[in-house]
Amino acid sequence: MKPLAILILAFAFPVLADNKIEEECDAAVDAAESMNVNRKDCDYSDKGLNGFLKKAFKKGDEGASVNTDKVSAQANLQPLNTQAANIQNDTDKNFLFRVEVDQWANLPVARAQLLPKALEKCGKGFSIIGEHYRGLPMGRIELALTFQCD
Amino acid sequence: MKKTLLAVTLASLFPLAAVADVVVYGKANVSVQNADEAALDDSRLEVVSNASRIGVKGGEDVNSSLKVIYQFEYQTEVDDGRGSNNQTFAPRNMFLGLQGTGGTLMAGHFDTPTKVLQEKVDQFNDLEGDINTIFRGETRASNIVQYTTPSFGGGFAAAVAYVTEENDGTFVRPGETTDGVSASFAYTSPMFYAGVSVDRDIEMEGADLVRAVARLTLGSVQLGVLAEQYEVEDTDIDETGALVSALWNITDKWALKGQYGTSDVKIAGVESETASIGLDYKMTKNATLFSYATKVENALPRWTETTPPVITAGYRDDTYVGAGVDFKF
Repeated sequence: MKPLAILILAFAFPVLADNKIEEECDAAVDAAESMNVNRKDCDYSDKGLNGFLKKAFKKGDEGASVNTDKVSAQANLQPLNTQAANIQNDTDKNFLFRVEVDQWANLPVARAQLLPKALEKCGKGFSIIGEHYRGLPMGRIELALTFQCD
Repeated sequence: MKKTLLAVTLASLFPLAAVADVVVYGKANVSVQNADEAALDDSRLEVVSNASRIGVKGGEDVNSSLKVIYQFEYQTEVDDGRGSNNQTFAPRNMFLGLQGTGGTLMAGHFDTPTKVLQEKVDQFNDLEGDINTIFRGETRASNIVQYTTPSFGGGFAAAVAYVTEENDGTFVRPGETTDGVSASFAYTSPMFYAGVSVDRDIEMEGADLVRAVARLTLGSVQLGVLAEQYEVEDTDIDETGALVSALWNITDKWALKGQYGTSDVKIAGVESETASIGLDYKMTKNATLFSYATKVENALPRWTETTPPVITAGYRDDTYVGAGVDFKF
């Protein structure tokens, strides 16, 4: 057996010289299982459970608070700050509505509910000049629609 | 004044002090399998949790050349919530250590260098086809202290662990309690990995185990081999075993894998065999749908020579076919 071990090593080592491949970061659970304390430190702060916890407990505009209540499509119709949304200065003609839903299936209804509100604001008619989706903690989805009045 | 002096002193002691770094991690691995086991003399459908776990790990810089590291990992049974001894959370690898430019020193309850040496060669790790069905050396030891060298020469590293004689009930060695040593030397790269390890008195006094492992990754194919020799002083026990494995990443999503091993190490003088094939489908980066078929058997006589005859303890002629999901979080 000991000669076998030596044979395996002796046979294998010459192969490796040219084969430097940049090591990628495995999942944190795999890195932990390897018990390899010489692995390079990987940043898991935005991944998996860590990413969730980071977003869930981060304060301010970049994060989102964990809301265990069901989020209905009707509950979160919020006009956004036009400057923050990078809309042109013509604030009378261009504006943005956003809505949060708890699952993708609710998006069409939520989207449809924004349209009459846009018409109410514009009076005559409008165009949708931007449509953006963003994933939120707890599986919620945010839809932001940018409107331009005729 | 004194406070200012104290602050300056502390600042000089810890010049790059200390950003805490905590990683919460885990995985759920659950499968449904048909188990046709000789001991049951029957087949049945089972839901099994395959080493599902949750843990935290991290570290904190003491200064530019020294870091405190830790890991606390617990296994939990997703299928019924009850592990061995009815523990909801059973300890896995846990340690506290100091890591510096001269290497890492850590103590706790964790896998010996010999167990760790298998790396990714065992393609059915934690499943019914796990290499522990035919090999020894898969020891997670309590009261263990380990030194690991830094990586040198482009990927070489060595580790030496000392398992103390203390036996507090978390790890009970058969036979006379004694201290033991496990040591390994390995080369690691993404494409190639090879290593050897030696256990001395780890399983029991007088038991020596040598393990050799190699893995070669060529494009989408990964090949592995593991061999063991096990002997016990002052006995006739001197056994060997070997296992080969292969993984073929057919596409980014699909992987086909298999392994076969035969060994007299698990039961001295009795040949044990394991053969497995599996097909994995990677649904996302962290979620994998897997399937497997495994055969485990050994050469023990099926029936004892008693009246009436009963199935021999340890006899295996078992077949498992299953599918499940592995989700890392």
